[in-house]
Amino acid sequence: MNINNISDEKLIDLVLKDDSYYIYLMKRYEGKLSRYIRRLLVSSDEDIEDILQEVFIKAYKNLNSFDKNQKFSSWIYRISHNEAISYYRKIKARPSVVSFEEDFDIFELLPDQTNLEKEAEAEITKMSVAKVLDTLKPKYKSVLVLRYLEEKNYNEISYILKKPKGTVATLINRAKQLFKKAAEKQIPKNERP
Amino acid sequence: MKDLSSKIFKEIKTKSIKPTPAWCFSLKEEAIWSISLISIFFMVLSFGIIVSIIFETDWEILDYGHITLMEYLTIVAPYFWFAVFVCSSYLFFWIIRKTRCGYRIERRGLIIFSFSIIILMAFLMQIRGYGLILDKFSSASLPIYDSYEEKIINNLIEPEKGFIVGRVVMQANNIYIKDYNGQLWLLDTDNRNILNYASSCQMVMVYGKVENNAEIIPEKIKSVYKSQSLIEYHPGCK
Repeated sequence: MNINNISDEKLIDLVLKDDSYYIYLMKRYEGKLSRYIRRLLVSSDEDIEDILQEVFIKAYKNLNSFDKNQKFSSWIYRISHNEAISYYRKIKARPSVVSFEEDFDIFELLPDQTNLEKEAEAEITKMSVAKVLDTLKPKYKSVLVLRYLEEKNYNEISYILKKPKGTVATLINRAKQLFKKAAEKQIPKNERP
Repeated sequence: MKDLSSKIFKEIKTKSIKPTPAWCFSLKEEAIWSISLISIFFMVLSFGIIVSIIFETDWEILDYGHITLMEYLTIVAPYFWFAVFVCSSYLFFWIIRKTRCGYRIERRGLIIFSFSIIILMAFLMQIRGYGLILDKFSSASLPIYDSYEEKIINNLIEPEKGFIVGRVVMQANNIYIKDYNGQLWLLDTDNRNILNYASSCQMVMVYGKVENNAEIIPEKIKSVYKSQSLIEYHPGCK
């Protein structure tokens, strides 16, 4: 049986019969979740490891509560989100800068990124976007990260954040406006794409 | 972050962590729904009693000038049921979000829907008279609770100002009002029409003029509760 070809939901059934399959499930999400947590909070690798450990242990304990009408990815993102927020509250400090070292997705939306001459400019923009995003309140930052970096749809975001779809749509609109305003304040005109 | 999954798995094994059984989650979900239903029941109940008390409140008492509007409101306001209503509403709106699908419910829609049901049920309770029955029942079962009637009796009776509340007593062709201190007040009237309205033992409020500390010349006799067969007695009527 090739584990890579089976769905998350089937893998959960296997885990409930034989816990050793859980390691495969964790491996599937380890990278995605650590990137997501890093995007929400800027922390050291050790902190992210601690949060991820909490996430996977919590997910394992609550495996029987997983609703099979939902995607497993949304469910584990929800747990990660909650753990990240708890961590954020614990340290009681605003996250400083979002790490965008691995994030090229949002910049694909920007025009003409392939031009080598503009790469340096894009790097500056990347950092500036990160700084702007970091000025937003966590609730606005979360929706922008989920929508534009994690590319989740409204239903998934609604499930992850435990908010009605209408509220998610409102939050995204509001977050976009706030992002634009903050960007206008923070990024000098000559650095804007 | 080298081989984190293996490290976590090892931790799970070392600590013998096991998935919580499915029945625990089902039980939790059912408990949450039960609490939601109980809280909405108390919302309906308390709102129904509040509406009934508002309907029953006799504003004519203010016309007799021995109490101000604020004093009157302070006496008759159903604090207990306000508190029950606020607590059960808070519990309902909080716990409904804890259900599996609760996060999908829009707050505004939920408020409109639940309040529509509560208002409808409360008015049905008022029409059927259940609000007052529950007010009296609460008074009988809860030592700290005073019904609307008791609040009137305990706070508003002022014989020296011509306001007494008590039960109608018929003795030897005379009509008396027996107040809550057990004192008998002779209704000084030749008008026998009151007999058509006031059956013996009925709870009435009498406004009038007190004479000799034992008689009252009535200006108006009313039932304590508006919804009970109302006695409207005016000295001039035949």
